[in-house]
Formats: sequence, structure tokens, C-alpha cells
Amino acid sequence: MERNHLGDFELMVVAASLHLGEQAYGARIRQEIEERTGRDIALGAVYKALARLESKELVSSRLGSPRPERGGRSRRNYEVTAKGRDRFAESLHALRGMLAGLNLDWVPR
Amino acid sequence: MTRTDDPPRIPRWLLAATLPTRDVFQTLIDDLDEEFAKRRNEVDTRSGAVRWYWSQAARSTFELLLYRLECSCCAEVMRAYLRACLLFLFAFGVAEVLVGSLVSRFDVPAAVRATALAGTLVAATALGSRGSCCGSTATQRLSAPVPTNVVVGGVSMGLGVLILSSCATTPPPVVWTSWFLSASLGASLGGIRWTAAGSETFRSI
Repeated sequence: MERNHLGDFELMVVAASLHLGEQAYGARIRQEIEERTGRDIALGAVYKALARLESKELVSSRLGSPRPERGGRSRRNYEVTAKGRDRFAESLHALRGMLAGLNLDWVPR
Repeated sequence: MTRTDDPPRIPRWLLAATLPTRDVFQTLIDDLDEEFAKRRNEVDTRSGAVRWYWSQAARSTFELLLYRLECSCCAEVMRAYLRACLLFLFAFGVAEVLVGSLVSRFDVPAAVRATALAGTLVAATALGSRGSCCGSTATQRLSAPVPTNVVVGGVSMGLGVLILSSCATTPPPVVWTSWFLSASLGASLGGIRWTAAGSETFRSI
């Protein structure tokens, strides 16, 4: 049975891809997560999550145009699919449901 | 580009060696090289960028190895095998205590003793094999714990031991090694989906 909700890390990867829009590719997604969460993440972990998300059709990828700074090779750009957005919304809804009514004064902002 | 501008070769080679063949992974090294160049020029010194590259490449290599292991059919069979072995050991341990206590209480002929032992072994190994099938079903690798799997896996696991353990002169290490080998075969067979068209190993993540 396919899991309905995204895992913690998958959620971050999808959120970063949504933030970046058309600029979403492996290294940039890693940077975005690092900047927003302060977590030092391996690029391999991001690629692993992206491969899983792509096999579940939650993101799609395509090769961009060749770039001189990469020696003429292309970036692989990712886009969150409609199914991915639905799954992301479901996961957020579940998380909000769990957080509703909690006194979170002790959580640093 | 001078040689000192290049990313360190060893971690790059390690990463390339572990890269899965799927298309999506093919840009990983280029991504890493691009960020290395950016760090070397804008953020860090060359040594800082090299340290960063090593750390990224080492951790990514580990992640990719795990990914490859998760995706390999071999890992599935090994997991099924371990499940089967654990169930076998548990069931055989319990059964042996029961049979042993009955044998010591009554004067049981050798032929009956051997048959009881054989029955216990086959039942325990069938249970072990069934465990591997059920585990597979739980993770959607098999559509159902097919009875054929249980019979084929269980009997092949049990028979190997039965033949060897019936020889009174066989030293225990040989018996256990043989059990290990026949159990591997049994668990592997138990993890195969038998269909009308032939057999298909359960796999693909």
C-alpha cells in the first residue's frame, strides 16, 4: 500500500521545490533546505528523496538547456505535479490537525 | 581550468562508482562540482571547499549505497531469508523441547523419533518460509502468500536438514552449514512468485 502522507524529509524537499519554482534542481533544493532549516544535508539524500518522489509521480523532472558553468552539461529541473501538491496539502492538513490546540509557547521562534 | 580548480578526484570517483543507473542521478556530480566551484570562488577558500566536497561526497556515497541496497532484489531475498531463519529457529526450538520431553518420557523407537524430527523440521521450515511470504505480502512484494511457496520453500529447507541430521555420525557444524545452505535455498524459493507464466522474483522499489 502506498503511504498517503509525505515523510519529514520528503515534505521539506517538496516545499523547497515549490519555493524555487522553475529554479528547482538538486543542488539548489539542498541549499534552500539548508538555508531555511539550518540542517546540513547531503546532496545524495536530496537526490534519493527526489527519485522516490518521482517514482510516485509526485514530482516530474526534465533536463534544462546546457550551461557553460557546468562544462556544457544541463541541470535536471524538478516540478511538483498536481498529485504532489495534493499529497503535500494532505500532509500539511494532518500536521495542522495534530498541532491545533497545542500550547507552543516554549517553542523558539 | 587549472588542476587546482578541479574538485578532489577520490571522492568524485567514489561517488561516480556508487551512482545508481537511473537517469535522475546522472546530474548529481555536476551539481556537486558546480557548487564546489561557487564555494571556491565566492564563499570559502580552496581548502574549505575541498573539505565541503569531501563531506558531501562521502555522505552522498553512503546514501546512494543505501538506496542501491534498498532497490536490489538481493536485499529482498536476504530480508526474506532472515525472517524465515528467525521463524524457523523459534518454531524448531519450541518443537524440539516438546518432542524431546515426549521422547525422554516414553521409550520411543528410533524410526518414530526420526519421523517426528523430520515432521518438526518440515513444519518449522514451512512456517519460516510462510513468514517470508507473509512479510513480502505486507510490503506489497507478493500478491498473496501462495501455498506453493510455503510447500516448496518449507520442504526444501526441511529435507536438506533431515537427510543430514539422520546420519548419526555427521558432526554438528556440517549439519548446521547444510541447514544454512538449504535454508537459503528454501527462503529464496519461498520468496518467488510462482505464476502460470513461470516465476518472478519479488522486487522493484
